[in-house]
Amino acid sequence: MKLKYKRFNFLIIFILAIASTIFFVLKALEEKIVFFYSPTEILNKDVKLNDTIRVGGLVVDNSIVYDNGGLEVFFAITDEKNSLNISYKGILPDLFREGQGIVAEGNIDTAKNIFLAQKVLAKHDENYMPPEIEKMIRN
Amino acid sequence: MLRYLHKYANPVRFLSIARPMRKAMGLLSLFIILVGLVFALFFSPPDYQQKETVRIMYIHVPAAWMSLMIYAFISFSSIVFLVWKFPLFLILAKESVTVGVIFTFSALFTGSLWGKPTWGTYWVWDARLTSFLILFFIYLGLKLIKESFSHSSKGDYAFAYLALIGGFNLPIIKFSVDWWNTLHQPASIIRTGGVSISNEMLIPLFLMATGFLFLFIYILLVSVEINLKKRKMGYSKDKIIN
Amino acid sequence: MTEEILKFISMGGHSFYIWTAYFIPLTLIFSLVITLRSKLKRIKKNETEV
Repeated sequence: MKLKYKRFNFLIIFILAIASTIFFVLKALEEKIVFFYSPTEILNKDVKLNDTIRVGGLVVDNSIVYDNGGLEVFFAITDEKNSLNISYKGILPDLFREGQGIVAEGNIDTAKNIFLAQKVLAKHDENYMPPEIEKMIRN
Repeated sequence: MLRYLHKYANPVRFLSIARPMRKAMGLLSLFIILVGLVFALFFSPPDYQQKETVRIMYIHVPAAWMSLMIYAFISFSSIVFLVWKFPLFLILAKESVTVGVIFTFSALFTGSLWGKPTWGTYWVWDARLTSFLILFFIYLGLKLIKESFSHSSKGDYAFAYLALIGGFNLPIIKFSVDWWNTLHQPASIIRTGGVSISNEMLIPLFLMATGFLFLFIYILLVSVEINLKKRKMGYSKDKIIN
Repeated sequence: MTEEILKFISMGGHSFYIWTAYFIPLTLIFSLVITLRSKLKRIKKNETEV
């Protein structure tokens, strides 16, 4: 009996030690774990702008412009507070459209105040439904 | 509870209930998975955004759920083993590893195939994907310990402690999409505000999940029976089967 | 009829992703089942001989 409680106490201490270690490691890494920044964070210069960074937001309605025979695309993304202009050359994911959440990887051209994307990824939301239902909700 | 655990921690009694249960689980899981596949690939509607690609969800999400559930089961059994020293719980934990590895690999693999057409990439290092990859590596670690130290009590303890430490990864995986911003979308089923998947899509999702759950129970019961029989024969006659 | 089947297989142009996502995991998990079943059979056979 006594041995069992000893083992139990040891395990509790072991678990607490591991849990607090993990907590502090994650806390320390918080900055690094963030996958993308918002346009507001970029404008406030909360991030090192020279590095390759990722920025995420919703594609602004009517902001998509194709140039250079459709090879280059310009658009803006927003976090509902601020927006950021992005230029990109390459293939866009199927889900890319107005109002869609996207994440762009690249770096900011501070002189022209435009984000030069090397990669554009589409984010999709947690809603799953057939097209008919989506139409009903929208109307 | 404790007395109940004691009673069924006895391998002979365990086998007496395991055998009939095994047959039922095997047939049931096969049937549910087949029906689930028909719904997943045929009867369920395409998604308003992703079109047909959404069908990958019906295998990706159940596989991911199973990976997490099996890991939780391994962690729990390891704790029971560490505190009460019931050998049966160590056997249960160890025999769950291989099937766990397969489900975790499947979740990563199908997620990758789902990511390419929807996100535009097979892989990104966001918090959800990275923590799930860590789960896969922990599983591989457990498998390695299980295979290399099968006849030493040190190996048993190494296994149980690694299983326990790895358990901390589970809440990190679950909440990674809420704590940090990620490319992976947030939860659709277990979330505040209710389920955000239409009913027609929930049918194949839950069918596949139940089918996988029963399949896991079936596989576990077969593996444990093999393990116990091997042990028994090991006593009467020196290792007939490896 | 054949047209419908072909349409089903093509999965709106994403056949590669969808069919592979189903084929590989199911193959893996069911080969584990088959391996375990034959192992159990072999052990049972041995057991009766002892």
